[in-house]
Amino acid sequence: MPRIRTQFLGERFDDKTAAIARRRELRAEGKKTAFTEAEIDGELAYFVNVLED
Amino acid sequence: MEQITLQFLSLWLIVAGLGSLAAILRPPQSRGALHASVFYHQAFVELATANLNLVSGVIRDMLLTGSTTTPDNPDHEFVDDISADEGAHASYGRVTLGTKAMTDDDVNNRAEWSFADVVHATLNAAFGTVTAMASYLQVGGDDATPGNDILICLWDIADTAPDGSDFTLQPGSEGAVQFA
Repeated sequence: MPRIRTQFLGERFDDKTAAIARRRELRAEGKKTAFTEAEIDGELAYFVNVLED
Repeated sequence: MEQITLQFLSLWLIVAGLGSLAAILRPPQSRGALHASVFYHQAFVELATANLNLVSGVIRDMLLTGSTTTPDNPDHEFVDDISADEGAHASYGRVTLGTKAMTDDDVNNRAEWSFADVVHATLNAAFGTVTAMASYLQVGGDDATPGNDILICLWDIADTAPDGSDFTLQPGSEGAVQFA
C-alpha cells in the first residue's frame, strides 16, 4: 500500500477543472493551499489541501 | 528491512532571459563514489516539450552499485548510458514507480514530485552495495530498447548493502524532487 502523504489530505476531485475552481475559492478567502495531481491505481485524481488559514 | 529516504533533490529554475530557462542544482552532501544527485538535462527538454509526464508516465527505477559511467554526469540521456553501473542478481528487478504525484505548495513556494515507496523485495546481499537510484521514463512499452528510455534523475544515497530483506527507498516527506 502506498504511504498516505500529507498532500493527499483535503478534498479529492476526479475532475481537474472542479479542483482548480475550488482552489481559487480558497485563495479568494486568503488561504494558502496545495494542489496535487496524482495517479492512484492508474487513475488521475486531484487534491486541494488547505495549508494555512 | 533496509529503508532509505530519498532526500531532496532541489532545483531552482531561474528565468535567465526571454524564452530561456536556466536550471541550478543544489546537490546534497557528497557520498561514496558519486558526487551529486542530478536531474539530467535531457529530462528538462522532454518536460518542456511535453514528452515526459511525471504523474502518468511509466517511470521506473534502477539501483546502481558502480560509478564507472559517472552516472551523476547530467549530460547522460538514456538508460544505456549508465546501465553498466546497475547491480545484477536474480533477486533484483527494476520497479515501476507508483502513486506518482506533483504538488504545487503555496506555503513553500515550490512544486514537489513524489511517489510511493519503492520496494525491492528480498534483495540479496550478493547484489552489492547500492550507491544510487536512478529513474527513467520507459519508452515503447518495455525495457528492451534502453537506448530510447529517457533518464530523469539520480539520487546519490548513502551507500547501503542489502541483506536479503526488502530494500525500500522512500521519498522525503516534502517530495523526492523540488522545483522552485
